[in-house]
Amino acid sequence: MSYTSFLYLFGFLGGMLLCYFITPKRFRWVILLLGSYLFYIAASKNWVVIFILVTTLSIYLGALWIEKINDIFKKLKGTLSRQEKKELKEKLIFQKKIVVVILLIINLGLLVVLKYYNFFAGGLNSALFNHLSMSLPVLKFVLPMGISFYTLQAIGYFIDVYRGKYKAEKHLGKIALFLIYFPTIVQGPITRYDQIGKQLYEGHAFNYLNFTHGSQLILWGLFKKIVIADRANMFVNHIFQDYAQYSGIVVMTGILFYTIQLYTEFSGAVDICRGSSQMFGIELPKNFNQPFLSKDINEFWQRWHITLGLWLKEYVFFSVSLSKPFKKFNTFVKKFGNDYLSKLLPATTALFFVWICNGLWHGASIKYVGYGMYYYVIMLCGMYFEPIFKKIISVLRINIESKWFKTFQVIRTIVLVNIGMLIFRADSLQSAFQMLKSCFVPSQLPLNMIPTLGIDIHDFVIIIIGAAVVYGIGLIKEKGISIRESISSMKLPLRWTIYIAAILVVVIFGAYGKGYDAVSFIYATF
Amino acid sequence: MNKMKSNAVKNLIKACSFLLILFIILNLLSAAFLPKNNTLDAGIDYESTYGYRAEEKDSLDIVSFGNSDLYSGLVPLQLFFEQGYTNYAAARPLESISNAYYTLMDVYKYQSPDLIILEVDCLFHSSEANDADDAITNVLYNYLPIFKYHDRWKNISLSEFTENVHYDHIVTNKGYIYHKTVEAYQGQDYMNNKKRKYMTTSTQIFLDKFVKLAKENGSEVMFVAIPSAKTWTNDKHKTVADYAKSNDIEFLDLNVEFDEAGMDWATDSRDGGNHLNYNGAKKATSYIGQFISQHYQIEDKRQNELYNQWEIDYQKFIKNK
Repeated sequence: MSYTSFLYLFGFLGGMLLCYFITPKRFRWVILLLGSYLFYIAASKNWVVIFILVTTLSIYLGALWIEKINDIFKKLKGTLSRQEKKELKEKLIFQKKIVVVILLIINLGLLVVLKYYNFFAGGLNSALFNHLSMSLPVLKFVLPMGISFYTLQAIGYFIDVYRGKYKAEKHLGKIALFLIYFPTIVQGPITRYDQIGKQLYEGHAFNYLNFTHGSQLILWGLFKKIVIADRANMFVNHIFQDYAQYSGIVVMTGILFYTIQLYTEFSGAVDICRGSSQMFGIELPKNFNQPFLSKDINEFWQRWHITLGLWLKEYVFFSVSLSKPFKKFNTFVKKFGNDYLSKLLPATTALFFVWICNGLWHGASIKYVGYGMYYYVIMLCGMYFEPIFKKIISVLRINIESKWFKTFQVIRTIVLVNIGMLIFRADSLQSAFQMLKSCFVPSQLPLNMIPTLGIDIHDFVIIIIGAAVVYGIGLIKEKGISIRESISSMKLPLRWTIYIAAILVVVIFGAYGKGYDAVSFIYATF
Repeated sequence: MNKMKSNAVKNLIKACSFLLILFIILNLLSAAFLPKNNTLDAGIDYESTYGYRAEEKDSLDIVSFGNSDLYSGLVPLQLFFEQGYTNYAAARPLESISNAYYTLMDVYKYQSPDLIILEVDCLFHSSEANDADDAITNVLYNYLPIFKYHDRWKNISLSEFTENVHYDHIVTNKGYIYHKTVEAYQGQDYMNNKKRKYMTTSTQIFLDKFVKLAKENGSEVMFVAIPSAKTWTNDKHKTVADYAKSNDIEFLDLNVEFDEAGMDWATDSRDGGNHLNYNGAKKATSYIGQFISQHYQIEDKRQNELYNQWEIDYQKFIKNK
C-alpha cells in the first residue's frame, strides 16, 4: 500500500481517523499500533513483520536492562566509599556497554546481513577468496520494509537510554508503536523517542485546524510526487538507461530532472506522512527546509534529509568524537601538530565516519560510498581552503553580503548537489563519470526531440512549471511566511477556490493511471 | 461545551459542503473528459474492450469478461460461425473483477445478453491490499471518470465540454486479439503448482456483485478457465468450482479438459504457456461453443439475415489473419 494509492488516501487513512477518534482517548494509541501493523503487513510480505518484532523486543528488553544497571548504581552509591563507588561505576558502565554491544549486534547485525551481506561478500571474494579459489555465496534476502529507518530509530533509543538522556520505556506497546508508526515506517522522517513517544501514546482530541492543515500538507505532497516527480521519472529513466546516446544539454537536463524528481518525491512523501500524522494531532519533525536555497554544502545538509543528518551527528559524530581513542588522537595532534591542523584534523576524522555511514546507509554499493565521499571531500575542501577563499574574497574586494554573491553561492551549491545526484542515480561510479564528461560535449535539445525522450512536450512543460512553483513556494517560506496560515486567514470563498483548484491540478495533471507506471518511492528501497 | 458542540457541527457542515461542491465540479469535468467515441484517438483506454457499445442495440447474445487469457483464447467471430451466437469479448489486460463489474454495468446500457461468460483467471490477480486499491480505483473511475481520463487534458478541445458521446466504432474482431506466434510450453504438469488459491475479500465482494447484477438483468452466468500453464493450478480450479457450485453456475475449465478439447502445448501457446495463440484459441472456442450449445438455449442466428455482417466479418477475419 503506497502513500499515494487511493486505498491509503481514501480507505486506510480515512478508516484510521474514524477509528481513532471514536475510540476512548486512553485506547487511541492501540488503534495507531494495530493500524500500523496492518499497514506494514498490507505493504509487504506477512512474515517480514518478524524482523521488526525482533527489533522491538530486543531494544525494549535491552533498554530495561540498562535501566536496571543504572538503578543498581543509584541504590548502592549511598552505601559505598568513594573508591568502591568508582569501581562499581566502572563495572556497571562496562556492563551497560556489553548490553549496547549486544543490541547493536542484533539490530545492526540484521541490517548488515540483510542489506549489505552481498556487497561485503562480493568485496571479500574479489579481494581475497577468489585468489584462494574460494568464494562466499551470493544470497537472496528479502529486505524488510523500512528496516534502514526503524533500525536507526531503535539504535537512537537505546543509546539515549545508555547515555541517560531519558529513562527506558516500561510499556512494550509504546516502543512497538514508536518503531512501526505508519507515517514514518516507509521512509521516515527518522524520529527520536523523546520527540514523538509521548505524542503517540496520549490520545488527541479531534482538531479541525490540524485536520485541514494536515489535508493541505498531503495535497502539497501529492502535487510534488504525482504531478512532478512521477512525470520526471520517465524522462530521467530514459536518459540514464541510455546515457551513451546523449550528451551536453540533454544529459544536463536528465541530471537536473533527477534532482527535481528526488527532491519533489522524497519531500512530497514526507509531506504526505507529516500531513497524515498531523490529522491525528501528532507533529512529526521536518525533513526538508528549502535545501536548494543553501549557500554551501554544509548548509545544504542541514536542510536536506534533516532527520538523517541529525541522527548521524548525534549517534556517529558524537560517538566517534567522544570515544577514548579519538580523544587520545586529539591530544596527540595538539601536542605534535600545528594549530591549523590540530583544529581541523579531529573534525576531518569524525566526519569521515559520518559520510561513510551516510553513503552506505543509502545502499550497499560502491557508488553510494562514492556519494558519501563526494560530499566529504567537498566539506573538507571548504574547511581546509577557507583561509585561501577568504584571501581571494578580500583581494577581489567581493562583498559577501551582496545579493549577486549570495545568488552565486546558491547556484554553486545547486551545481555541486546535481553532481552528487548524478552519482546517486547512475548505475555505477564509472557511468556517473561518463555522464559528467558528456555534459561538456556540445549538443542541443530542440523541442521536437523531447517526445523521443520518454515524455511529451506537455509533460516537459508541467515539470518545468511544477518545479518553478515548488521553488517559488520555497522562496516565500524562506521569508518566514506560512502559506497554510495565509490561506487559512483568507475569506471562505477564496480559500475554497484555492483548495478546489489545487485538488483539480493534482487530479488532472497527476502522472497516474493508464500510460504511467506507478513509481515506488525511491527512499522506500533504502 | 455547547459552543464546542456548535463549532463541531459548523465544521462538519462546512466539510460536507466543501466535499459536495468538489464532487459537483469533478462530475461536471468528468463529462467533458469522457472520450466521445470508443476509439483510441478519442481517448478511450482500451478500444477493443468497449466495442460492444457500437454493436446494434441489444444484438449480442453473449458478452464475455476477463484478462489477456480471454482476448487471446476466445474468437467471437468463430463462435458465431460455428454456433450462430453473436458475442463480444470485453476483455482487457490485467482485468480485475471490480473493473469487470463496472464494465458489465456499462454493457447493460447497450446490450441485453442471454449469457455472461467470466474467464476466471482475473479472480486471482493480486494481494488483498492491491485488490482493495484496484477496487477503490475502479469505483472512482466509474463514478468520476475524470480520474480515469484526466490525461486527456493534453488534447481535449473546448467543444468536448458540451459534446455528447456517440459510440460508433465497430471493432470487427469483436474483442479478440490475434497472435500467430508459436512458443511451446515445456514445463511439467502445472496444475499441481502452488500459487495463491484464495480470492481476496474485495474480489469476493465484487464477484458476488457481478453475478447478482447479471442475474438481475436476466442473464445466465458461466465461468470459463482458458488454458494457462503459467498461472492456473488445481487449487484455483477447486476454489472456483466451489463458488460455481454454491451459486449454481456452470464452470468449464479447459485446463482440466485440455486433452478433450484437442489442445497441445507444443503448438497452441504464443509465449511458452502463458497465453494461447490463434491455433489454441480456435480449439478453445470450438470446445466452449459446444459446451454452450449443450447447456444453454441460445438462438442460432446464422440464418438470420439481420446478422449477415457477422458472416462477412468472419470471412474477412479469416482472410486477413
